[in-house]
Amino acid sequence: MIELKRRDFITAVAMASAMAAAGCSTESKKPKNAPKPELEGATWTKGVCRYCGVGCGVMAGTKDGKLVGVKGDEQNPVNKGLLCVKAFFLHKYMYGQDRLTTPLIRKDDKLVPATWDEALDLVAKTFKEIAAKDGPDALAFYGSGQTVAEESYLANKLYKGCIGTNNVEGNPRTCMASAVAGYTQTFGKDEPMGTYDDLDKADYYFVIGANMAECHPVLFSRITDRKNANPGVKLIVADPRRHRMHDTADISLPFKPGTDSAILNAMANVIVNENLVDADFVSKHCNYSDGTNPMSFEDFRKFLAPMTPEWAEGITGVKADVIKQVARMFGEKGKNIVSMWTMGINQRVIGTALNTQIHNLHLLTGKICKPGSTPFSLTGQPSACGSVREVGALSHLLPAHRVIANADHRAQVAKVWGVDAKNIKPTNGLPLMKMFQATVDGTIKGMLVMCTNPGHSLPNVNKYREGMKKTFLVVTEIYPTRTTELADVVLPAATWVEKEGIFGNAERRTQHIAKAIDPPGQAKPDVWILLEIAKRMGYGQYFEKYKTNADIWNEYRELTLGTGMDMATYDKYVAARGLRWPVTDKTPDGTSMRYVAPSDPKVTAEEGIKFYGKPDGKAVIFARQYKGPAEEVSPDYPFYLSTGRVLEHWHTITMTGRVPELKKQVEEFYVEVNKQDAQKMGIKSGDKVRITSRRGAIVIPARVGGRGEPQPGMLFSLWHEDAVDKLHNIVTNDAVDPISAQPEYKLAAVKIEKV
Amino acid sequence: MVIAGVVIDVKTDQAVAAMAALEGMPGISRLEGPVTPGRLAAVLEAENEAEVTDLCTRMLTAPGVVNVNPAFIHFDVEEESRV
Repeated sequence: MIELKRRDFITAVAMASAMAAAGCSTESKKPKNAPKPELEGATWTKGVCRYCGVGCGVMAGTKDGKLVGVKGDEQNPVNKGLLCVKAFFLHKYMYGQDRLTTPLIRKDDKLVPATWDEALDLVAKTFKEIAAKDGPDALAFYGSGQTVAEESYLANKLYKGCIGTNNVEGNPRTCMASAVAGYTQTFGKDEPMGTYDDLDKADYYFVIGANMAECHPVLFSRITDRKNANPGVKLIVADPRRHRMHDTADISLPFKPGTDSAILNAMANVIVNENLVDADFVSKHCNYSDGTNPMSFEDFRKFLAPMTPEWAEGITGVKADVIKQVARMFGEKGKNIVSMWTMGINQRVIGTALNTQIHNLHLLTGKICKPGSTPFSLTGQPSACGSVREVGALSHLLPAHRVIANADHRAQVAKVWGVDAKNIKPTNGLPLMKMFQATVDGTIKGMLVMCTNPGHSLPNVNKYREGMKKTFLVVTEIYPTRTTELADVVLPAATWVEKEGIFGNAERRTQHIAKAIDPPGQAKPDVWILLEIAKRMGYGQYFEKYKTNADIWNEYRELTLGTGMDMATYDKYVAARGLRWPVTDKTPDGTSMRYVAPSDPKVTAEEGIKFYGKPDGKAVIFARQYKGPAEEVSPDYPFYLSTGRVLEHWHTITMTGRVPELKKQVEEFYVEVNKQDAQKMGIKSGDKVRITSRRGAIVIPARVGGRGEPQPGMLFSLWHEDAVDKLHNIVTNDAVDPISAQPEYKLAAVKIEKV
Repeated sequence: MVIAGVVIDVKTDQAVAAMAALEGMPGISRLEGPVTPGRLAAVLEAENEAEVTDLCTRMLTAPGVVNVNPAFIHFDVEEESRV
């Protein structure tokens, strides 16, 4: 028998886990007689991280009914055991002192404890009264890319199929609606054709409007890993703010805020004029369009003719030679390139156009639908794809990428839901900002908010907070937030491994989270809450068949079959480390690349590549005119403000703000000021500054020379701040992209003053 | 006591310098690498979780270090014998 101290065992396991995550075989490194973790007394349960859209596999360690540790899931191909620092502390966000554990009802302007029956009866009675008096469109649902798919599916059915309103929105409208619209316009179907596998085969990475080092660190690690092993691999970063990715980047395109459209068109100009177009690919698989009418290649060339790299240099400030260099890398024969982007592209009034402009570069050069070459939209929430885009929990969608405007789609969904097809209105509901405008106008009178925090996260937030105050607002949450404080009823929810469910990540991977512990107090899963509301509103007959999450999922699955978004049965996900749809008899292990035979079962070997979302199977290369932001800088508002986040925190900090170790790392949520600008204005790190836009003002600390540095004339603030008078969204712009309806968080004209 | 296993991404041409800087850093009890090109593995031992995050942040200041990601963490480790 060998005597080892427990600490030695754990140290050995820690090293073995790190080495496995680093990609090294650990067999020779594991100590002899090392115990399995279970022998340490903890039970390890398979889950998925609760934060960003990467979808890292997580093993949750529980002991005595409580989470005691977290480790990366070495068997999960997404992260292979790696985690970021937020996931490191996943178990801690659940144990905040102010966790909501009992329903609350507003009485005499105060939220006071109530029983579940009191709270749910009040919700059902009030919603029914509103629908009876003002019609079903006076009600709305605002969900989340953090709910599990089953929850969004139930809410969609309740509102669209039973209550009879399409006023169903989700917070992915604020983060990825432009990516949805972009994919749909170019390829006829939402979501990427490629996967994370492509990162391991790319020669070049083109990252624009994203800071993966802080927002998608595990994927960024995959890039650095490949770069380190392959010196020819290059990273190109296009961003108006210098950030941590630039430490690794080979080429930087620091464009002036809001001018990226010019860069993308100039790159297309170079590709077209230097004969870098893959003519065979384009002729077989692409059409050209000006957005309204078809056009020819010659028309497209003429359209691009004035948009030279020199023209773009004048607008963007990026040297023409650098634009040419990157365009030539796109066109380089035999080299693979992956483009990635996120909020810097999507949160714009031209977000849809920008998405299609990125697609253009791949289509023109044929750098698409082959391993290591793909345009890939990164996502910000763990199930924005799985629970909202795929489930169809937006005001214009139905499950499995169906649309409300299509009568056949409505009939197909109604049949599976077991409701009369006439129940589903043929017209779209209100998109996000119009929905919240309707609360201001008083036409929406009742709203259920689930697992999201619009009282903090909406742009121009103070305007919409007033609307929420006027509305009968019901919020399911785990902590008091800037939204629960406006609510009439607060329902305590279970979170993460306190319940089971399905998440869908950015690469079409559908993953199951197993329940590991019970929720605290009277907190309940949102599935239970929705079923109770449905029953109490008189729709129980449509929901009584759901006894388990599997029942809900398997009904939803019926709607996916044959659509190209085919899902597997629930039990498959319980067993697997995720499967990337479509999952069919031909592809039981999922699909690595859409639109390509034999990977995609909807494409025949003869067809080879087929963009089957389009009637003729061809993707569209769009001619997009250059356009700047909704709000230009002016003498009164001479700076562009962009907002974003840091590695340690997530969104409105309702979770990471409860983890002392994370809070300590970044204790104040500041605005970064360019060094030259700061010097001119006499601003130093820590100084209080007032940021004023046309919508409002906040006073927050300045940071000069921190993790990132915006270019002159630009400010960058961390929107995590949750003090009600300092919400950074008090100043952000609520103008939206006319196609995607996504707001332009990334560009607000402001002034800055030292106070 | 908290014990954590982390993966450290470094620039390959600065791996030696990074190793040298990290080896002298208090709180890192074991350092292996490069286990794959540009990747080091380390075990951190600290009094509490806050010290672990401090250490992760401090590692980012070492030359050539571009990313630090945890792979394992175990809390409340107590000295005890196991047979």
